[in-house]
Amino acid sequence: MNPALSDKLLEIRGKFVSSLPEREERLSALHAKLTEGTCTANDMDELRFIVHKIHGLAGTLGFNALGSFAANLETDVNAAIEKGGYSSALCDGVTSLIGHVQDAINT
Amino acid sequence: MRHKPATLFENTTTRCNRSLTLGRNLGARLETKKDMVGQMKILAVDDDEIILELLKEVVGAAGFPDITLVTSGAEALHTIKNSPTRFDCFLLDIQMPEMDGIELCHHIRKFPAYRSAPILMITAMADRQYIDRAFTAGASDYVTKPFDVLELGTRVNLAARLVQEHAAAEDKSFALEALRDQIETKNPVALSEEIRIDGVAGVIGKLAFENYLLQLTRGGLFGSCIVAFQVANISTIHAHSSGSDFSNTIIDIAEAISDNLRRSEFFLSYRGNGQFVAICHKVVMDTFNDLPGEISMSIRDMELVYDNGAKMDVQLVMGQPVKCGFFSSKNTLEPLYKAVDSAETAAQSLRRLPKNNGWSSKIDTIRNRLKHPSAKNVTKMEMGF
Repeated sequence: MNPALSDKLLEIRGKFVSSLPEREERLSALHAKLTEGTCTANDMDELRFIVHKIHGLAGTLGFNALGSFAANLETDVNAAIEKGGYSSALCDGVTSLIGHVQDAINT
Repeated sequence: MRHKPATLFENTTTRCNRSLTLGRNLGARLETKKDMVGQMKILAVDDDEIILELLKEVVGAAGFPDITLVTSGAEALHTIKNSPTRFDCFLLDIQMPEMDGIELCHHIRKFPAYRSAPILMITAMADRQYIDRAFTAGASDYVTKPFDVLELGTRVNLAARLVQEHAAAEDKSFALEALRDQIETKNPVALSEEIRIDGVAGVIGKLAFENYLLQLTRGGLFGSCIVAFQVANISTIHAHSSGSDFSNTIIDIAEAISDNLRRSEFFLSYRGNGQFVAICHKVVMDTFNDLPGEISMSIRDMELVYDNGAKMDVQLVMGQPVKCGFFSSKNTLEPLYKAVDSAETAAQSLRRLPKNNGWSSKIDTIRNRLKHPSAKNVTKMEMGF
């Protein structure tokens, strides 16, 4: 890979990391709703959207663990939306994703 | 004339392994036009600005700096309509709010200028239903996120070569039109050319078909069947047809195959030289047994004739269906080539048969058997396997 592209990718990776606290905040808010059992269809859509974006970006920018975890969680969120309900396993999944996001921020 | 061939692929991409090896003729021609590749004008659509920035850098590093970035389907359509110059290639995300990338792809294909432009879907949606919807809407290629930055550059390069193929084809069309006015040519459509087929269910272009198959194998989405069909007497039909006559015959045959494949989910493609290939999902292998006879009957019922009114006899044979799951290697077109080889072998066998033992009498026999339920099943041998 040419050095100029490498530098640019590092810069974009930095931007992605900078965007993570905001995504983490939204995930935490949605997690709270999941735990309380007050998650609406719109909230589930938002959850899917955030997880999907992390899935798409993280792996490409070198955060493989975060990307893989988000990919699996996206499947679970889609299944929950299709089923029209969610289980405590989904809440646990979101908790773990938040953990992965924090790891990426700290890295 | 219902259709006119707009896309002329001659000696197009020889796609081995990762589908990135170009045929020698094309490669040589492209070398001389290398500077044109960098001028490809690209429109990238993604609602995530970080992805857009990433695309800009990756595609720019691959030699394509002319890239316009927009964040929604509506903005993309507005940009397309108001752009003073034509875009050559599109990179579309699927999952976007309001208008998703598949719907946008469908809209882009409605512009006459973009009927053949490469459209690459770049998405985290790896399920087959999304892949199928994207190719049905007219996508040329499908890249899943997370993507390898170098591979994305290569795929955009492949799209650039497609753009050049189209440009060369347009030049050729103009030249042929001019020639047609001056001299009486029997058939300006070459036998090997890919003929554009619009409006027939499940039909996609040759390159899109190969990309679709590669995408399935990359994702390990096996369990499908590939089957090829060969018009055994295509040279005779071609020699006796005018250009539009030949194109319409190919479209009619595609229609007959498509109609008879409808019991399964499928994509069909015409590869030139009288060769069709289909990929079928969720299909029981036994259902293929009667397929060649049924398709041949559909063709015969169309009562195809040449321009001069003479009856056209279309001898279509089907090769052995090839299950994709039989191949452990990913990212190859091996099952496709195996299916195509099988159809070619079947066609060669048919050509070797004596005339009085030929295709028409076989069809009559099969037709009679199908009319009488007590008759025994049509066997593979009879269908030219």
